[in-house]
Amino acid sequence: MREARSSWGANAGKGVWICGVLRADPVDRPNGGREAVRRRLERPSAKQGRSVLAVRISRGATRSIPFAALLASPKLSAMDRPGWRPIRPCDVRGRPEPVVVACSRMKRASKRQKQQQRLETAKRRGDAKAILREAVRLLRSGETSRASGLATVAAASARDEATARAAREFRAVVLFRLAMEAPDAGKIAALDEALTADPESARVRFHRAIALLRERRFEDAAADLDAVAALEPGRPGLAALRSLAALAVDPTAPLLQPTAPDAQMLQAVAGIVGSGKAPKGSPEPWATLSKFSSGRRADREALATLSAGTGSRIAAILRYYSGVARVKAGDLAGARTDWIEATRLGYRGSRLPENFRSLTRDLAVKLASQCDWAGTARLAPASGESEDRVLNETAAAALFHVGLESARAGRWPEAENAWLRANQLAGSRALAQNLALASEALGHWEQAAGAWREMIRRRPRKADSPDALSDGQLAALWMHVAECLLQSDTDDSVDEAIRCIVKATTFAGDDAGIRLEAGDRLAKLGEPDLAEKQFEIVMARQPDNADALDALGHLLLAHWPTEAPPILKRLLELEPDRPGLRESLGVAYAASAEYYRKLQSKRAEIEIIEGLLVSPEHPAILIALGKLRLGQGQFRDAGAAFNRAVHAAPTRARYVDEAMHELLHVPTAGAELESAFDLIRSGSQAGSEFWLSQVEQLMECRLDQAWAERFLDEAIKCAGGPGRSSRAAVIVAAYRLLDEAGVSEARLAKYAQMALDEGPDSKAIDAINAIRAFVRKDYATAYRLLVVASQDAEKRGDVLMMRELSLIEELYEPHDAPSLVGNGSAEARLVAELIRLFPDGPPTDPRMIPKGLLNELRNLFER
Amino acid sequence: MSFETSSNDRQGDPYETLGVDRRAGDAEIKRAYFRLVRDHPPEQDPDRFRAVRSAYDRVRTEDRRRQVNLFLLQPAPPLAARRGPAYDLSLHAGDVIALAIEMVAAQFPAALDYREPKVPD
Repeated sequence: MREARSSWGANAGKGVWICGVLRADPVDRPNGGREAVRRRLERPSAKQGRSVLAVRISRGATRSIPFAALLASPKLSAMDRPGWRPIRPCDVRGRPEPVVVACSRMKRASKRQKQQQRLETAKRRGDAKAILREAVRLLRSGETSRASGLATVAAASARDEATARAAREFRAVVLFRLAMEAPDAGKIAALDEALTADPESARVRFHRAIALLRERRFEDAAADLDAVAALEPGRPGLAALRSLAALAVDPTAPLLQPTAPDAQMLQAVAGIVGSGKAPKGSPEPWATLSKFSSGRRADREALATLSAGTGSRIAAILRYYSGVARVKAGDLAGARTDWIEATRLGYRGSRLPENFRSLTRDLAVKLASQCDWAGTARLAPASGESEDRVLNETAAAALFHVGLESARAGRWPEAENAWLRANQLAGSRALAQNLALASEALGHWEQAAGAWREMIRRRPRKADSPDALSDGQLAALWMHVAECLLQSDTDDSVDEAIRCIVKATTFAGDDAGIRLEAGDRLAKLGEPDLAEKQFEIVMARQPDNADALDALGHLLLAHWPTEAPPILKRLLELEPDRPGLRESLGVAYAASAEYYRKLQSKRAEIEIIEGLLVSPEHPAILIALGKLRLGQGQFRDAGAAFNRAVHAAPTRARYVDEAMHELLHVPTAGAELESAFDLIRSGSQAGSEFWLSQVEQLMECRLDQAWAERFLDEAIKCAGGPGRSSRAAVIVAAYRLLDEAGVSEARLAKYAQMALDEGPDSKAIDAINAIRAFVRKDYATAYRLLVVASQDAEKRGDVLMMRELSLIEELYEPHDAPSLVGNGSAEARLVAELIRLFPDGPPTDPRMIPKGLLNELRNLFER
Repeated sequence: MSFETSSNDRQGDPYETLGVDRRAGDAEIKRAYFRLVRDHPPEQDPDRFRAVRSAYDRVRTEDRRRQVNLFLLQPAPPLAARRGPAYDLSLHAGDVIALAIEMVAAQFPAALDYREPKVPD
């Protein structure tokens, strides 16, 4: 076993703490190193964070030692902490290429601090030499930029000529290094700056000439090279570069006298530049380049091989020509790889972009011809569109296919993405249609509407085109766009949808169906004027169109009822048996009569007579007649009319409700009231809600309260049973209504007793007690009872009870009180919590309430 | 008149249901419909019969087909064979010279010209 020892011992004196050395031979002691590290970590210094962790990483060890497990140790993972980083590789004796990475936070920071302190002191004192020494140190450690900054400071601080000169020289050195480290784009400018620091420097000019040659600024480069020749005539490579600069400007320029290998190269270059052929026996790559145009496999391979062993700039050019050779041989995919690599390596030939576009296009066309749509789609430009129209169209076609395949498999998101991309490259009518369908499938309604619009926009305009859209199709499409917009949730979607529907009507021509549909939708969107216009257009062209008459009649009935009767009457003449028509006509005549009655116009009488002629026993007309007679003081006729209305439609709650109530207004209608009351009761159609509604109306109009109690008794009688309001809720409603009306406590007691009889579980008595508590201003009890009753009603799903409890709170609560009944409010939760803690009533001593809850309650009541 | 306003994924492609091409005419569609109705009588296969019936109803006239086609996935249009501009695959003098320059420059990396700065005493 051979043990490796690191130089940590030597470093220990300098403050580097190394706490573990792994064994060199992991086979013998696979965990030895790990254990050593572990033991070292157990030391107090490690626990205090002053220690440095050491891990040896060598090729042998990383293979055999489970290094990942070592790193996973919680102690070792401290290496990943910010501030901890490897500071230097240390030598391990006895092993070739071993590495020990020592990690230290303390030492590194301390060293830096000392350096910084030294520098600050030097700057403060204006000690140019010390600054310069620090700058040199920085340059040596590779921090060229910082060294440059310090060089400027040192030059400004120098007090004697020798130091100033040293600072200037140092600055020139640094600027040259900075320039050479600069990226290509800024290299020439950086070299210019270096030259200002040292105008007589041959090396700066030489390298600036190279940079200029790379930029193909041959004449500027030649001037620099001439200057170098004057400053340092024997500089290696100078003659070759001067010859190349001259050749670039004039292919017939004579060659200078370079060294032997350069001479061969220059002759080859001159041959290729002058005649396209290198002289026989030229070195590589010139020999291959001069004959590569054949595209022979051997030449392609030679170029690839040549590029492999060179620097990136040379490789870039060779890879480009390798690609050229591949294109010539028809290997488009290989050429593409070569040109991508050439671009990556920095090839900047002017023909590459265009050639690459052509190559991508031809490759796309080739793959598309083989129906490799996925492969073709991959050649689509990453974003935007290519300048090559054929490539755009081919890629779009491929994406069309890819999308279609996805859509047919139900993968709509993929389909939508593909079609969106295709649409960017080369849109078409079919593409827009498919995109619209995909967007609809995904519920992207706004996008769908946009795609449909594009589909319409891209339609062929020539009528004889097989894809031309008829007016009917266009109308249908615009209607569909409107539907998509209405599905979307954008701010102006309704307005836009209305515009689309109106647009659809411009293609409707004589098509009554489209106009009626459009009118119907416009009416539903709150545009009765626009809707009316469509119906009127249809009627102008087809006066006997029953659907148009029906649509217009009902539109008028809804918005301008006095205008509805003539239209609906005409429809009745055409189709006397049309379902629902007589009913609508009756409503129209009744509404019209009401309108004129309020105007005290005699026309009301005419409307009623006409209405009764077409629909003799229509309850709405009879009610209108009753109201007319009531207004005229003809109580007997009024009572008869209302009674007739009840008898005409005893099961139609809306009319019965109105007629019954109106009867209460007729002073002499006792007999009629009894008759109607009996009829309604016997019909068993009216439920509790009907009777409660009657009571509410009665109270509102301050009519005979004797009837109120009869109605309430009827309401209670109807309550209970499946699908009906609970008896408890109706009793509470009855109590609440009578209490509101201000009846005596004695009369209310009957309902309180009923609530009591319902039992405590019904919570009816709680609700009534809540009313009583509110009346005596015992709000705490009132709210407690309401919350309990409300929770119970919610649990049972007793809608009427919940409504009643809310009404009680609303009607009886003190002004500006917070809402406690209902779901979710903070106050309600607070009260619920209070009730949970004190189910038998509020505590007499507030100290019994938990402090937090008490504070919240105080806040609530303060509010 | 009723509008065809639902996409095919909701109602299905009636041509597929009837097993006919989208370019099929009235007669062909009717033949396909009768064949399917014979094969799937309502008393034996009511669901299929309803689907066939509904599909036929949607495409039985030219007008209806035009409406239906608006809301069906469209096949990809044929891709016309087209060529773009040709390549410039010639060997350019500029590249040859650039290559030579790089080969010369590669022999004289900047590091050779780096000088050790003088450290003042």
